[in-house]
Amino acid sequence: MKTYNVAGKVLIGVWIAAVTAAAFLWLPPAQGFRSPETARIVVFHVPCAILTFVAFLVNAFYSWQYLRSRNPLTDSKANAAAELGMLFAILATATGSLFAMEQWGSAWNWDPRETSIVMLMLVYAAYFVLRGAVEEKSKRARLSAAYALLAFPAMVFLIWILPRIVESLHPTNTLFTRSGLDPTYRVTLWSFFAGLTAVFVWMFRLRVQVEQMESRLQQHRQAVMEPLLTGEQG
Amino acid sequence: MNPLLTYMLVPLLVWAGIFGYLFWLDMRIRALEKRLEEEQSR
Repeated sequence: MKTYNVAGKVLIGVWIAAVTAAAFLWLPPAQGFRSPETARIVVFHVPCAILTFVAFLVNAFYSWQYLRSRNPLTDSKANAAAELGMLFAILATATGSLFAMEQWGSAWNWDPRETSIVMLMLVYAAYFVLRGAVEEKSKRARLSAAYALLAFPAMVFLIWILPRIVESLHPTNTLFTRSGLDPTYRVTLWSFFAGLTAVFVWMFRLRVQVEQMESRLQQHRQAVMEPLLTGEQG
Repeated sequence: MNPLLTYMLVPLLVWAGIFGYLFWLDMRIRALEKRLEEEQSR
């Protein structure tokens, strides 16, 4: 089992490295861009942005699951997904800023998509603040699950609706239409997305493992402390 | 900035973000394992 795990991780690393190399060596400079060479950034930026949405979607799913089952594991999974969503939102913003600097002349343009990702990060930063503010475990899980379910429609609005109703520098519907992207770009972009998704799953499992170990440690401490406390009372 | 440098920075940034986070998780797991062992041996 461990051999398969290691082999899987090596395969993910090789896959992402190969796609990164392909982005430099195989992809031609794209016409129609101010700086055709930097069009390759799209291959890295877009998968990060998609995974941000996926992560927050997973967060909402496990939050809903927690409210249904009150299983602490689902709360850990919701938290792990939110943390990964934040990581990919930061990566999407940083890579997007570098692209904007070359394509639109400024790293930040207050474009609807740029503004909406900042708002999204603030919404989920509040989720972490909420989790940090409540000490009692079940209360924290309940409150943060309810908050995550309220944040979910805001996230859908900020990612899918707002950039489409306001004029934006970002193109829309380029990923799912045949005329949107050159086939070489499409293959590289989705290949990078596949590799990044595998890394996402790997990081998600590790993050959940951290949460489980933390709660095991807490349970162990409680089990040790309880007899001491009752002994004192008696 | 030089366009070549810009598009070399992007994958580097993504790799740094991913591996930085993985490294941090790995460190936490190791630290927790050690603490669990210590607590159980007490």
